[in-house]
Amino acid sequence: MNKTKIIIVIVAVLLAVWGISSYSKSNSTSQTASTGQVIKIGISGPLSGSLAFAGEGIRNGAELAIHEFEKANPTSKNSYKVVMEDDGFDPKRTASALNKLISVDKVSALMTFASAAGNIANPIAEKNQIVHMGIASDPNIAKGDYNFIHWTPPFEEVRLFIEELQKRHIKKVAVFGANIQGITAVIDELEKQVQGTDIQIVSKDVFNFGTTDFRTIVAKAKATNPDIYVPIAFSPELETLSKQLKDANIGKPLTSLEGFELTDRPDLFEGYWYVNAADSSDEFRTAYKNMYGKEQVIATANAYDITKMIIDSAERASKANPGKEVSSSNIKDALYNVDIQGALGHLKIDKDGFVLTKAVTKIIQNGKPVRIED
Amino acid sequence: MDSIIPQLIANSLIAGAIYALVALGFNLIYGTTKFFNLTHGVVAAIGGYTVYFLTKKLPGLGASIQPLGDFFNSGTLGIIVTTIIGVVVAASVGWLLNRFLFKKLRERKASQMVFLVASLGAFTCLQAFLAILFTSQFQTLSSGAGDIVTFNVFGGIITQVQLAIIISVFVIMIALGVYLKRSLFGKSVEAISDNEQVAKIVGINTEKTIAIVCVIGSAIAGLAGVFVGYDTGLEPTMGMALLLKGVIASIIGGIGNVYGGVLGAFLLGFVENFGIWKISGEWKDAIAFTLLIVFLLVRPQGILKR
Repeated sequence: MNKTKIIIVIVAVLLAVWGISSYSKSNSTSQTASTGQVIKIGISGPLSGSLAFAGEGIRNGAELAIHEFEKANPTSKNSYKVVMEDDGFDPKRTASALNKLISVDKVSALMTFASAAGNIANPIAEKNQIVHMGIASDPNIAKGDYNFIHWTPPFEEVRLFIEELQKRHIKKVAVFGANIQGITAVIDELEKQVQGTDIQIVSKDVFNFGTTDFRTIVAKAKATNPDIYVPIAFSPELETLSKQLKDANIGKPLTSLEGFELTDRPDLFEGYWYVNAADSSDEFRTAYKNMYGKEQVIATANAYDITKMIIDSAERASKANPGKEVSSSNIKDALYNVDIQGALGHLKIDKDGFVLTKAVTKIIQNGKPVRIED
Repeated sequence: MDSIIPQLIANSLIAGAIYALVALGFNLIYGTTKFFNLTHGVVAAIGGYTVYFLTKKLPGLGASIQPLGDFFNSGTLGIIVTTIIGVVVAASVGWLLNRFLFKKLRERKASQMVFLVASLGAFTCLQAFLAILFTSQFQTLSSGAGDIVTFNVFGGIITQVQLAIIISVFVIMIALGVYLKRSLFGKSVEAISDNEQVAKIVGINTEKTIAIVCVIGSAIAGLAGVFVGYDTGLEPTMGMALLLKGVIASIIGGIGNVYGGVLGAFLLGFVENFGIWKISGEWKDAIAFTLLIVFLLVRPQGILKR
């Protein structure tokens, strides 16, 4: 191919790219003008890697909320759309995923999963004045005007956990935690709340992502002769740690704060009780199963609730400002007045930006998480 | 608190044995070809995933294959047969990589950097291939908690698989050492390692020797992958972590030296595990890399010279 031909091909490709982008821009503008505003909700979460199951559940939960809204409001002026970017549960990819959602997809609200991603999203949301709701434990994520958290806070989970330990006459616990903000917040809260009780943390060890050899931290914990072992980690570290605990013949039970649902192999923890964030309603579970043919997983109901709150806020903001486009700032203002029923209970945002929900005690039965009724 | 020491020793031996298996193959290939073969890690993962496919996936592919699947899951014989197949598949992948990638690069007299980048590309490609085929989810080769057989050695708990890993390392190291020392093939490897051009001039079929080295090295990596699959579990990205520790062990022990790699691996295992005895486990990798830096500064040739 000679030089002239190469130049012609490059020019043709550039023209084609320009033409396609111009067409898509004009197309989206006309659609907005004729059919009302399309309000996009951007999610940065894992669709690949060992937590892909959670990301899929989050996307499905958000889409279910939109589906239900559209079904109940067929003549609504506004329409809603979920745009999800895969961050592979890698914080390094979260920032670029969020920036793409904001600058390219022009989303009106953001949703993230876990504290590492939430902490990255916080300043980005403030700077761009876009509502961000984190499904995470770290309270720092809710700092600022545009940031909110919809997850049972550590103090509530730990409160119930200690109550459960006391009920079962467990005095000595050995804690293993992954070195990430959300889990650190939970462990810090546990250390705070055990003070003044007869429960003692006899061993506490922290490990990094990617750790596969837990044998020595298990041996250290075993030497302190705890009554129960508390692994708090994500997949795949959680599965590896639990296997090495069993390999070490610990002869004591395991429990966790959230941990047993942070894997798609809950069967590895058969028969063990644990404390988890708020449990979803039967109505939501049935609706989810009917739509997707499978059970909801961790954070699915939170994503559903967050989407419901954003839709509710946007609709109220739209009614309050007829004829005007709903901005993220309008959604933020309206969010503080949310008062609706969600999958995880009554949804209201407090002055600190938290949607408060109650923790629950669960057990893994036949490979599935089951709530232990009071 | 002192009762923890036997367990720490056992843990150090287990970790060291896994690193040693990776280092053995890596050192053999590096000593002959003189490039950092990053595909070594993913070849280990392929070995593990082959056994996973045979024992967990194959039985579900159809009624006609069911008896074969049942055989692969039939206790010790099934484990041995599937492990051999895993090792053979890993060795084959090693041979294919050499034949269709590294040999071509050698023919073009590519620089070390090109080899490194090419092996990184192949590593990433094969890792993605594993994730597509088997998903990124964590998988285990063992069938459940009930099948764990443990031994109490002087107060340290050690599982059957871990014992097999430790024994295998010493058997392979001795066998490989003796074979390289006494056979004509060993002399060829040494000659290529010293100077490939001169080896060619004196009539050694260098390409054939390098191919065999790649097959042996990859077979050992495949065995490491199978063992890790039984001991810890499998995930497509496991190769890089395994490779990193194997490379550190090789550099500490003496790069290109079979015995040195094993020595370095056990030293690394002991330093890592005793290092986090009194401090948090999150320091483990920092300890490993500090040891590497110390060796690079103080004794760059490693414990044993090549």
